Amino acid sequence: MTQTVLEIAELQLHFFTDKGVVKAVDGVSLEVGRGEVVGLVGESGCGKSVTSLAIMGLIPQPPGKVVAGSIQFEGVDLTKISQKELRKIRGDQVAMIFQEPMTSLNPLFTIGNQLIEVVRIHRKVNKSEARKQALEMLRQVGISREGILDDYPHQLSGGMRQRVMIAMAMMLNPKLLIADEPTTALDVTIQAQILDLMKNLNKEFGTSILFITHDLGVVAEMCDRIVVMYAGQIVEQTDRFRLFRNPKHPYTQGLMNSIPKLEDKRERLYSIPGQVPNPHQMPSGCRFAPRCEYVMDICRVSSPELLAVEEGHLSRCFLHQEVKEVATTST
Amino acid sequence: MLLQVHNLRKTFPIRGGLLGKQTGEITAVDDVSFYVKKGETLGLVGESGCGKSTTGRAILRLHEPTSGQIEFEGKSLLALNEEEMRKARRDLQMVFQDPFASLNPRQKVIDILEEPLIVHGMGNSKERKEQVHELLHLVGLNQSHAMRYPHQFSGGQRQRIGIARALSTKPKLIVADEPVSALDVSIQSQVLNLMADLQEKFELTYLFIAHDLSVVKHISDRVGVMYLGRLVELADRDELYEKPLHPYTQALLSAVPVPDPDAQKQRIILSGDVPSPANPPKGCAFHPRCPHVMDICREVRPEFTDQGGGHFSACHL
Repeated sequence: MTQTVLEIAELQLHFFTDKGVVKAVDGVSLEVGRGEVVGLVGESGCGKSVTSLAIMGLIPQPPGKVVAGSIQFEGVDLTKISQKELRKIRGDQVAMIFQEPMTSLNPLFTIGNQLIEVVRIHRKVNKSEARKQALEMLRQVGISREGILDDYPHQLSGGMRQRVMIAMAMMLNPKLLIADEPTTALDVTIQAQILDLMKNLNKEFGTSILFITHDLGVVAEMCDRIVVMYAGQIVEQTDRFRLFRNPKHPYTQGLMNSIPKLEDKRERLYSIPGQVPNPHQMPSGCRFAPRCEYVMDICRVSSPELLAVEEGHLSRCFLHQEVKEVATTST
Repeated sequence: MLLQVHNLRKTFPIRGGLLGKQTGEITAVDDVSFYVKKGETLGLVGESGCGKSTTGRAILRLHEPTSGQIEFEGKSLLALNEEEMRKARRDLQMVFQDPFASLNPRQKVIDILEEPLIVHGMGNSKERKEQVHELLHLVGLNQSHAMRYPHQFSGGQRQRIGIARALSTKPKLIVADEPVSALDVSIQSQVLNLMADLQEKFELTYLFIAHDLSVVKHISDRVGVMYLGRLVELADRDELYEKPLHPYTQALLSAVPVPDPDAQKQRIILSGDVPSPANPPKGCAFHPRCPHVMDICREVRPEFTDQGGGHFSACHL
């Protein structure tokens, strides 16, 4: 990796609710390099979407608050700058696409209006030039029909709307694209089209992508490096080959074994017992301990650190950490 | 043969204008025929709007079929009047996709599970209570859960309650419409295992409707693929996944992302979107997107026929 575009360090994001403090993101550190596609995976409520919204400064405050840590984008700490400065970066250098393309496009404006607005806010160009750029970008995402600029979002299918969203995000050639479950609402044949498109944009423009999803199949196809989250923390992080060939953390292993695969014959599926802990009552010790089949005494009392099992492969589990170290901390 | 569906059709009117005059119609299910054998699981897959859910609902007459025949244990369901149909639903139950919307938020679990028993006049009050506790136990919950409301449960637990409700009348056939698609993968596998266990224990027959090809493959004995209201292919599970005949099935299977970065895959990327069911293409519904399209496909609708060994396909190739 040559250069780092995004560097999140020890991010702590808490929600202050009536029932108490929810540590939605608890000490997350991750990097995205130039031209790299990083996958952020985990199940509902693990903090993956909150992390991505925090990068964009889109967490409502209150109740949310970044309590500690930093989000460095090209050397600027996004948690420290004003809303006005953030607005300049957002949409221009960092763009985001969301899961539901219908709710993230304004139903009252035409596609053309919305694309042209993006250009005109950030660049000093006249309307006809902006229109030309919008058409060119739409062509890049595979829509070559000129009349599209006068269409309203409801006139388009789900796959077309997501293409428009991607075109809008890519309009100003951002350095980083954050994609939060961009294909979850789409059918598989349309999903294949959109993933193909995103891969091409990544290659052609060198845009870095932070790809947030719960679908391990999508991650395996799209991402160079993968970060697995559980209950607000990163539990494992490595490149895609090592993650799928040799997952270290019991949660990652459980997740992989629970998905039915096209190649398997019918047998019982592995299932991780129990459910994700209530964010108001996190277990003491390792957060996965109550569901883990390798649980040891130490797991229930002290929290494992996210440490390297080998070069470039991090795991938050006592199983892989020095027995000696475990012995000293438990006595 | 538990269930036989012949030439099932379901159309919905499109109304427009000031007076709500009918301006067209959508054919949601178009000439669909299949059968389900006792004790097996028939999977029905397809993308949104292909008519798989409407087919499931039409079998229980939750949507009244426009034409066709539905035979359950040799008796025609469409010949029954409303009262007789209600009684017949004791043997035909449904599990829905959204465990949040399909349970009444103002009823306690015990009332949700007891209601079908009361409707079908099964047992006295004491026996019914006992049965509710037994049902909860069967789906991996316990007696203490009976007095709670649906919002006090997680998605996976709610789906267990939905399954318990479907089981309460001791049905022969369960139509499960996307029962695990709202759940996280670790919870999804728990529910799929539960459904497999219950099937074995009570010799249940499932019509399992889903869009996730891996899930359908996991649970089904035979699988049918739908496109734009029509069944395009139906075969034994392994046969369908290993030797798909229809170009749509081939494209669909190749589009599924595989959780293995080492897998070498030849992906068929279809161009365009599914056409509107209000105005389906002439001839074969798939022809505008088909990589192997021939002249005949644009004119003549292919028959859904047995290509040998119970492998049905509707394609001119």
